[in-house]
Amino acid sequence: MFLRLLTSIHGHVGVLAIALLFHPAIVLWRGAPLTRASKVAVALSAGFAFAAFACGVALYSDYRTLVRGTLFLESRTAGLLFETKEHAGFMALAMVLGAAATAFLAPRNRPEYRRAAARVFAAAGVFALVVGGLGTYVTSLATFSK
Amino acid sequence: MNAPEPLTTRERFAVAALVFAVAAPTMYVVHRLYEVVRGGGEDPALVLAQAHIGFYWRIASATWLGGTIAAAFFALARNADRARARVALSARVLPWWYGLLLVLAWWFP
Repeated sequence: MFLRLLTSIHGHVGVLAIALLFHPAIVLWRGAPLTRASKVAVALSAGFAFAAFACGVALYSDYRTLVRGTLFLESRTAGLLFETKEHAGFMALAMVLGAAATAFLAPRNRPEYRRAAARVFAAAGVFALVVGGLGTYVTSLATFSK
Repeated sequence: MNAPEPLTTRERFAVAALVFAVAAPTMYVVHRLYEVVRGGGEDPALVLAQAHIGFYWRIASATWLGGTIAAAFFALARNADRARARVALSARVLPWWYGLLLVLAWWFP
């Protein structure tokens, strides 16, 4: 029951994180200095990405013992796609944390830092989309039992 | 001849953070490729046999190596013009680099 609840929280926070990752990419794209709203956007995207990843890491050990075998029996491709999801998830988180720090630390008169951070946020958003898509597909095949 | 403008400490932190955003994912993929080359490739039996600690270990080593590379850039970045030019160039190059990392993560699960 708890694992299914945590899986559900992981999924919902993850979907929110996907949406939140594209917001700073748009806001920072031209390198304009951070406003209060854009600071909130950057902080929220990093926070939600971290929360989604933390839920995933908390689930991982139980997933490995309770679900992974069933998943591979169901579909070898899906089992391997879940491994890809893990990789993309960590990479997206590292990108978001680095880009958020860059956006916050960049001097107001140096737009090139924010432009670079925007590209990293956009790439992290694409990674997160892949993670969300693969996660949804894999969960449709095998997940924690009730 | 004027001396090059030095980077402020805040700007050096910004450079280091951007370097971390590139280095940590890259180190993760390098670590995974090393595991695949060493023999833990796409065989589902091998994937199933992997302990969950392998994933945690990859995360830890990629974060540590990414942080170390970022710290090295923080220590070495001195010339403001050169650093800013590289940051500007990174905005064009990074999407392609991340695309390559995603393809590698897909090919070598």
